[in-house]
Amino acid sequence: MRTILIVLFTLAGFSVAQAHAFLDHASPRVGSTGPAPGQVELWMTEDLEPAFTRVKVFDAQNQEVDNKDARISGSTMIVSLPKLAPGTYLVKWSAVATDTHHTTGTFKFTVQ
Amino acid sequence: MILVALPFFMLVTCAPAGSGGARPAYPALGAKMIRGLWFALAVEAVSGIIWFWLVTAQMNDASPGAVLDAADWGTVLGQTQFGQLWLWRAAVGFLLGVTLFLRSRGKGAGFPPQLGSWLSLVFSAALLGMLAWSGHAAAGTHFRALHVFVDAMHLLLGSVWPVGLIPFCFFLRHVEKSNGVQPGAAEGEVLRRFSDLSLLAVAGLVATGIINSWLMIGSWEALVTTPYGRLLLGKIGAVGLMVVLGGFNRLYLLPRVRSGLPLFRLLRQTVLAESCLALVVLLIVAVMGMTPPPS
Repeated sequence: MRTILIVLFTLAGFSVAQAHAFLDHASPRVGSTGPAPGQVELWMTEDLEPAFTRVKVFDAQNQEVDNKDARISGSTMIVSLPKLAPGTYLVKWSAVATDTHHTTGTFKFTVQ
Repeated sequence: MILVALPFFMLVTCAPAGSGGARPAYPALGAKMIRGLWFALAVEAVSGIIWFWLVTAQMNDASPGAVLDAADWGTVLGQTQFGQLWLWRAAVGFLLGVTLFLRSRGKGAGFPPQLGSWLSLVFSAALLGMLAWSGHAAAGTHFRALHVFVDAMHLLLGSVWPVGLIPFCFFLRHVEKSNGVQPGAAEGEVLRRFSDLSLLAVAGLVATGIINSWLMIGSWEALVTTPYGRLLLGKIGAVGLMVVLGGFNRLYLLPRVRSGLPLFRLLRQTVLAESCLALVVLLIVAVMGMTPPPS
């Protein structure tokens, strides 16, 4: 009994609340229509681990169109874009917060 | 948490009942506590490695069996906040192990037992407090320093009470075995000190808990509309029951036991009931740890 108690109360320390990094807002805005942006910037709700966080932009043919130069700093991720032709683009992100949880998401924007 | 609770109980709660700190109080009980510390440290080491492995899999979005090569582990250790924290905690755990080893060799190794006990408490507290950097508090973008501090304090105070109930149960059992059903004056003093320290810890837990809840939940509505909020309500309910039991012990049983009435066994039983409720609380906290907070 004593052994079980010691094991349980030792492991109890691991229960620090964990959250997830979600998209707070983005530029261009989620679902927006406008002129071709020079970059896509995402603001997340938690600080990110650069080694495990990715953001990519795809065109309607599912071809990656960004410059593959994603930069992760604090809770933001930025990837630059070449001059985009009119059309709808898909942003795919995959984030690991500094509290280790993994989240993914997508959103679209349209270039006029 | 038990790694902090054991040395804290022996040094702070029990020691004044000994010979003014010149030698450890209750040597037989102290030796049992040291064995308990060794065991808890071993559990901490093994579970720490498993934790690291599972988190590495989680970060790579892969199954645990797929993250067995050194490159994956190296990336987490070298390039993530969690990896850096894990390394620091491993170093502190190693120092705690060295301290316990020297402590068990005693004065023959030129290492005073009391110093070893204090160092054990410091390293254990550091090991536990550092966990605050692995959670939501350290990843959030608002009030980070306050949140990490409050989280760490909440963990440390929780080691005094309710996790401190575990060494207290061992102590009560030790007293019952040594003195029969009636504690002596020195034991009565330990009971009073534990009660006083628990009261202080509860006050601190309420204060840090309120700040933590405000940072994690953000609204009264989320307290009843989100899974995290409902778990928190369950935790508050269980802690409330524990406080009622603790109040009964402090205000009714303790004065009567100290004045010689034969209620020591009943005191032991209510403390045991409190400890069982503490396990329920820790179970709820474990589920809360896996549930995303609303804010």
